[in-house]
Amino acid sequence: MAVKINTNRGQVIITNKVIVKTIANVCTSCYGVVGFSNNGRTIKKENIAQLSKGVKIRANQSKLVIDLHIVAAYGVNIQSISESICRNVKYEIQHMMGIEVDKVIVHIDNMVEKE
Amino acid sequence: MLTGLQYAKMIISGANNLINQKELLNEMNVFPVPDGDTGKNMSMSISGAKKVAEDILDGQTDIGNVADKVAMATLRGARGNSGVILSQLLRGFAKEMKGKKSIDAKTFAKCFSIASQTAYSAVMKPTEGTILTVARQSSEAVAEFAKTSDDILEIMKKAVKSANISLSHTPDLLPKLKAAGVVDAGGKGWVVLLEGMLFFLEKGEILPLEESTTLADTSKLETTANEEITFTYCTEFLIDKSSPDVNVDIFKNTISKIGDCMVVIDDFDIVKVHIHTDNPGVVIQNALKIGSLNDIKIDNMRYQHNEKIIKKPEVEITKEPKKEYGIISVSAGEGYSSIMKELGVNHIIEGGQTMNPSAGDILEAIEKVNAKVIYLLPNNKNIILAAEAARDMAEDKVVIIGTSSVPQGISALLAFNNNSSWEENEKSMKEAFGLVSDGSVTYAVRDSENNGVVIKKDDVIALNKSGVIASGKDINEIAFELCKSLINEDAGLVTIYYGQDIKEEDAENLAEKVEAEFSDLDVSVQFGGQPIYYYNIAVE
Repeated sequence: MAVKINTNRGQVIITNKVIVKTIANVCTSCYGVVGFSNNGRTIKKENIAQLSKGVKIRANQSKLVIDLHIVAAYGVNIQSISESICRNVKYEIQHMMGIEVDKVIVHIDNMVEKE
Repeated sequence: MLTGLQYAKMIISGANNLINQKELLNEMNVFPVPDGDTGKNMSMSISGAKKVAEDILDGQTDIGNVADKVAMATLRGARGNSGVILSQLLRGFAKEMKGKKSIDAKTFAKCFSIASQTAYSAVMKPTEGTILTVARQSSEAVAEFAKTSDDILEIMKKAVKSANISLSHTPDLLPKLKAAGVVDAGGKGWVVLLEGMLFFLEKGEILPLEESTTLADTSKLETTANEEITFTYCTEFLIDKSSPDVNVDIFKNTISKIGDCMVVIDDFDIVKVHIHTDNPGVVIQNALKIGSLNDIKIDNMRYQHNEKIIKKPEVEITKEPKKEYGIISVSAGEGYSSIMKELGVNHIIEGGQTMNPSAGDILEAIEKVNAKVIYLLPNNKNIILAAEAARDMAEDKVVIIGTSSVPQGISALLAFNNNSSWEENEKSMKEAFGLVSDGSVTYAVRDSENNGVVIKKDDVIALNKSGVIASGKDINEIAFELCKSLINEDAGLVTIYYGQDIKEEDAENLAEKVEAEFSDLDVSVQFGGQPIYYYNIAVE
């Protein structure tokens, strides 16, 4: 899967890998996110290729559906951080890449207290 | 000394200040999403704490207790990014005050450091130039100041002052803030809260809540927004020099003052000129002094820019063309995964005895592989059902090869031929794994009895199709027993896959022993890397 953007000056093709890594990057700077999770395994390395395993994307009628599997910090308001993750990711992807986002689904797979 | 009652009043005072100034904060909100709700979020987050603090005013309690209640209330009421960070900062305060009746100046100063640390611990990649930066830099200043001061009021003053300084630097750290000409709204919110707290310490009374909030624009900074385009017109032309001796340098100097991105190439009898300017007329008039003009092109860049922004590109999401065949295999161990990759598996699902992939995981893999016909190797009895469920949901043709162990899966993979039809492949893969008889060596998790074999917890046990066939203490001995039970007259090849807990030399020893006993068999040793199972042994 890849995203094709037709502009009046030509075509832009963005591969999944790029989208997924961008999303992972946006997500790491969201408050309350201390890691990602891949099939239940926690990934805390600050390596974008590793982290992006916690990001899944699919298409729904030319719009993007994003699943985020994250590890949250202990002691934060989960509902609030989830809301702001959804909003940040949606905003950044729509503005940085021009791809419309249908929905962002945040899965809180684990919780840790980082010291 | 600072008491619980005083802290409660400080919080109320700070909360009032935050609520009074929420409109200002809303206006300043441009990062991370310019949705103008920071003021609303922060004031709503703190209003729960305010209520709790007001309840405390009736009966005095310890400061640790008050701080804890305030932090909990803020945590529950936290909204938006800045609200959550605010709750973390107050949680940091509570951590340091915990169990104390009242606190001295040194502890109070330390609260700021702990607050900053707590806030930073909840994010992987902190964005500098936000409330986090303001909290950290002011806590550093406070810590330094507390070495020489023992006065709570002075420390609070220092905190407010340093937070304000830090706040004024936020546009240097976040370009988005600079472009909008504002300081960070969340950071401002923290400063406002601290100012409210200071108001109480200074005046001894709670800062009152204003009826209607007024808009103050004191924190707008003088910066130029829309930095990308400074000059409107992109001007380009060629000059045919009237004589080879004209002085191009004077022309260059004149026009460089009224524009940027200037390129002037002096090429014998022609001069090529490119410049961004607001006065293309002046540029052209000066150029006329050197010669006649050619190929004049003047574009309005602002217009182009707007067009670019307004015109929404059409977006379509396309799929790559489908491959003929795709193979999905479930693996339990890194060694197995790399063997499978070599054998041409397109997608490996990590799974196994203790961690079965769901039908959803398998379906996702099917979509990813993107092939016309997909062979699915569950490699575990427990996964076959999920695989069937995924097959029924998938749009593509999925053929399940019902392998119940990884060694069976590997035999099936060896039988796959990219040039055969899918029916032939299905047949030969199913035949191939059917010829494999395999078993495994693992340990018992509890005492039991199976097939007449008495097993104690932590004993090494060998299993084949019919159940437990041997138990004991020595892994290799049990594995050898297993080999003997698996090998029959038709056997030709023994493959020993050793797990993550077994050393390669132990596996080699086992192989030698098997070879010595059954001289007409080929024995090969492979690293499976599987957890839980010491060995998987396949005989075919």
